[in-house]
Amino acid sequence: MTATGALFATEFDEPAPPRELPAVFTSGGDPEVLVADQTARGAAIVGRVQGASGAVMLKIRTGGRPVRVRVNLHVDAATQAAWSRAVIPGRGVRELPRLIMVRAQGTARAAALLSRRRGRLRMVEAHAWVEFDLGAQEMGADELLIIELADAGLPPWAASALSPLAAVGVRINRVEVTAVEGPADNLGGPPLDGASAQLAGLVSAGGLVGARGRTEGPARSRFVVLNAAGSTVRCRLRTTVASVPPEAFRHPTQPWLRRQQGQTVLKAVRVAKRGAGYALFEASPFTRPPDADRLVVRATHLVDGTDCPLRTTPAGPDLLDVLVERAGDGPVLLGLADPTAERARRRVSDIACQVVELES
Amino acid sequence: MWLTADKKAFEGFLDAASVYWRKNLGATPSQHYLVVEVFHQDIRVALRNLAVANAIRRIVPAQLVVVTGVEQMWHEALWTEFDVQLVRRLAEAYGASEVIDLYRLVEGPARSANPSGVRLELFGRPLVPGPPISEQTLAEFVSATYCRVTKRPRAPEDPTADPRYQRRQALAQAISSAYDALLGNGSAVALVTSHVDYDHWGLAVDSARRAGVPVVHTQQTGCLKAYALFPETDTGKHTFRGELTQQIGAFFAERVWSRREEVRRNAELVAWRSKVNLGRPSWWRGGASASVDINNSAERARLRTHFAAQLGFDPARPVVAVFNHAVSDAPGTNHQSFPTLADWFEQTAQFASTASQVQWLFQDHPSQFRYDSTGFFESVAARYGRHRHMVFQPSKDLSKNGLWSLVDLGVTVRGSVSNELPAYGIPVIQAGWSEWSECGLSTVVHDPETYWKALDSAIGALGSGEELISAEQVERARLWLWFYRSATDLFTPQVPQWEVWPADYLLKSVQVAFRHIESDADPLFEAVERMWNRREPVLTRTDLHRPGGAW
Repeated sequence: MTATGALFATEFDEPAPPRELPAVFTSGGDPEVLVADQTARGAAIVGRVQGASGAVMLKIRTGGRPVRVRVNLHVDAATQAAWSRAVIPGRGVRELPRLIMVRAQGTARAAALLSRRRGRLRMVEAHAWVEFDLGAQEMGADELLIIELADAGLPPWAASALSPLAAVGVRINRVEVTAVEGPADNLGGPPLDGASAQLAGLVSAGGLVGARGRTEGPARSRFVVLNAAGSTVRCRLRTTVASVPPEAFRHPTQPWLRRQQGQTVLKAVRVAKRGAGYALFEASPFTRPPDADRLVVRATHLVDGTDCPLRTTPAGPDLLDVLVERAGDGPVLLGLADPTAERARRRVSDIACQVVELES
Repeated sequence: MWLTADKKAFEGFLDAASVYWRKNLGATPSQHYLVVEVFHQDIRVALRNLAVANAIRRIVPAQLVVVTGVEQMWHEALWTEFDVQLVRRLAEAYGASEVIDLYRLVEGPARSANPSGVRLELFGRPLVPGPPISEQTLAEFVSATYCRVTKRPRAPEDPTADPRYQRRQALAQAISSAYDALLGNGSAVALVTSHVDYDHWGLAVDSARRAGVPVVHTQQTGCLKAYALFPETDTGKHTFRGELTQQIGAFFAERVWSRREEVRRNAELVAWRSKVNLGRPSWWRGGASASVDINNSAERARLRTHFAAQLGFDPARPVVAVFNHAVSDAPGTNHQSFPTLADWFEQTAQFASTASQVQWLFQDHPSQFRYDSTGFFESVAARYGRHRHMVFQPSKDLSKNGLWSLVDLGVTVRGSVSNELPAYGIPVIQAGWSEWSECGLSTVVHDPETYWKALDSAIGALGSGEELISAEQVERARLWLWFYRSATDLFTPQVPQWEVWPADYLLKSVQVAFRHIESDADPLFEAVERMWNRREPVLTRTDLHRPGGAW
């Protein structure tokens, strides 16, 4: 191979020195964020994905040590607007949960499931953390770390319930890279509760809420991503119901609706519709949690696409213990379905689940 | 004309323009006239043409004649709205004494048995047409226009079976004779046109060249860019663009390459800035997927691994990218190694299927939907779908970073990648001529035989790790970027940069120029005068005089 690339530089490029560990990236304008591919750089965040997939390339000096990478993803109203611009959803299309695969150095590492909760009036933004370790060899002498957000290959049983082009508009709020000291994982540790498991990036069940993205918030979707290491992962789920997501935001096409006043009217209509939908859900007979023993649980490994064997044990009226076995490391998508009740409740409510406990 | 501007703003602009030109040009009692076309709906295109035209009229006293019009087939292929009345008002504000609605003029003759019998009167006197166009040239224009308006890569075997073809043929005959009357009678001093292809533009250029009338070709990018072909320098051997290719090559060698030491740093700056939006001059790509952030081999290699995995390529093996052009875009407008762009692409794909020592990335043109209704790219892709070393995809599926980290050799006919890639050290083979093809930045081949040879030897060199591009080619490519983006991009308050948009902003900005800026030493007048008097092929921002010469 020729040394193509050597002539990409001009006299006006400024060489960026690598950032030392522990490295925290919170701005896309930093010189160590070398590349923002299909990603708009941010000032107070690293960036926002603008295409079907987006990537950032960071320059970090790891000194040959293994490192732990934590990435904070975030879905807000602008995410939805960007998504709407790319997908152009038709009438009646709902804002579905986004399953996002995070790759580093070209390999799938972890996945995140982000879903905005429909509040009474507003949509609640969702944060997700993913965390993964890179071996000493995976960061080469070039000191470059490339992190990509992309669609995960959806298993057919989940494809219609999760958003297409999931990465469009998603924010990469921050990236933290630290040296790994001691043993690389916490296998066999004490079980974690849902919020800490999501904060540690071991599971992802819709994301965390709150201004700093630290609290769990109510259950939003019937999917959970398991990122925890280990050949078996046990998690206890609390099953409940949530209102179905509202209609996806659509950009107005009429010129008069694009103007300021039109936008205000549209916004009011959206809020009213959301509130009405929520009220309908609360008044409906479908707010009772589903019977845990009627639920069908499926799990698919997101890297190789194979179904994972699992065992479910009801642990209470609305509690379900799920034990997933998997052949290799990598995120597993877990989904609940209630085939008997699906049709009746589809327009108003959907079953949802929350991680209560995780053990790997 | 398509103009979503505020009515009041437009009126104010017209008022300012008409006062400005009345005072700056005065009455022109001359019997001579200058012909300008306004066939494009975008007002930015019209403004460029009219500004250049009036600058010429300051040197050569002449009346202004504007040719415009709208036609059904073109309307479907290109325009969304076109309002001849708006064009008329704009033209009159710029001092036009006649506005000819070409398609209304030729409609009757084109439907009659004798399409060439167009009668044209100007200033109350009938015009005597010059010698007519040759049958063969006319047939080429008809075929090219037919392919474009019907969005197909090549004309069918018996095109006369299609009534649309016959219609285009009759129209072309009528248009050509109208232009012969307008430009061939000895009174026309120049033709200013935004395009040089297809019937209503190309036939005007052809008539002008046969009649020895200078042709100025404005460009739809940057501030004000224009090329010119003067009868004194026209060899008549090539198409309009072919002649320009040669002249620009000579101009570049004499005026730019000789100054390379002097402008090196400027060229570096343009090269640096160009990384941010390499889609230019192709205005179809912008935003976050249009920038190249790579600075060195290590960064490129890392990204390459990443993107190769997406496409199923092996990052350790060379990648050749073939850039499909918009297939019906101006067929035959310049020298091509293959009869059509489609032939070139199909045969290259066939060649690639047997050359599995490298990996091939076939990129479709991002605006292809405007140029092809036959699914040409998809049909070729389907033919070679089983080959794992060949990937076909629309251009926008891959970001610029992705593309530039993967490509080790670019192959195109006349695409702008052939001046962008070499500026950053990636070699390109061009199977045809373009504006820059004589400037020594790419490998230009003239016929299929040398094309296959060039591909063969390039693939061999890629395999053995030889450097395919020389330092001089990179330097020339960066100088070309400077030449294209800076030296030949004239900024004048009368013609704001292409990006000054929407229309309200544009009109306001030009209106301010007309109302508030005194016209003395307006760069527009100076630059056009320089180009006109010295018979230079290109409008320049500064005086790039001959080294050692008086100019």
